[in-house]
Amino acid sequence: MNPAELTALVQHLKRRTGMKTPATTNEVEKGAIRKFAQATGDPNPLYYDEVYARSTRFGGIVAPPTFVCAFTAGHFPEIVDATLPLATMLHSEDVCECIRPIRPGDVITAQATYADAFWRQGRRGPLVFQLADLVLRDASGQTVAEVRITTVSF
Amino acid sequence: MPRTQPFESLRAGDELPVVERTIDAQQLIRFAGAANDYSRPHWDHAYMVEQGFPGVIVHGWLTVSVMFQAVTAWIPLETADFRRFQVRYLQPNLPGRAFYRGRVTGKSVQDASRLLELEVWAETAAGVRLAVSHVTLSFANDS
Repeated sequence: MNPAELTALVQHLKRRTGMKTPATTNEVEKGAIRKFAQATGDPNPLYYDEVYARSTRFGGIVAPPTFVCAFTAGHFPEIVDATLPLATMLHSEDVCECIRPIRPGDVITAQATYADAFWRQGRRGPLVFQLADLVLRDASGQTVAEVRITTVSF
Repeated sequence: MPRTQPFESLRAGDELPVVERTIDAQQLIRFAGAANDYSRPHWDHAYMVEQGFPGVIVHGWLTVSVMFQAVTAWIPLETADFRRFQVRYLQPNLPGRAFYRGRVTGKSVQDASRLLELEVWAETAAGVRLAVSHVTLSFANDS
């Protein structure tokens, strides 16, 4: 693709800005936190041992900081345009504001908003970036975490 | 309570103990299930070969989960919260052995919060950086 085509593509993508995915709501199960920690190879009992976790400042089990990614299903990569005339789309960047730890029993509502698109020349050709914001809220409507996810297509 | 590093003793330039980890294709399947991430680059070998890769690649969130274990092995979550993190994925992380390293880049006290800045990264045995993260930890008041 030439620069004019890329600029036109980005203009087209930017029209998605503000578009939202349908919100999803899930209750966090203790077993899901344990399974996640095990899948990452993390042996910390804070993620599954209630007795140990009670003895810590958390007073109970919490999820690892990266557990926020388990809420992206149905939002990401769905929110970004995966039909670009570029062969490959990969995960490029994440930024997460962690407001409080996620705990078993939390009822988390997740929703993503299309944030932006841009392109730049990479070493082996043009790169098209798409950005989306995922917000996680608890049952009282308080924000638990905000994640900005960026994809790159090339 | 696991051993930690007292905030007062930490200095910019301090290095985290290196974590060496091998991620195999089976772990990608386990992580896909645990994280609800079934995107093709992480399980469809033939598709990835067609795309010009040697095969399936590690989920970005799995790479960063292991990077953060290098942090929490040194400064446990029991003593400091992750307040913010930013991660850039630089190279596709292929299953196999990688090294997870980091260092302190700064610290500050803001509104009675004791904040530690870290740079953490994953690299191959040849020293090629796969992903790099900037993390802000907030030390708990009782630690």
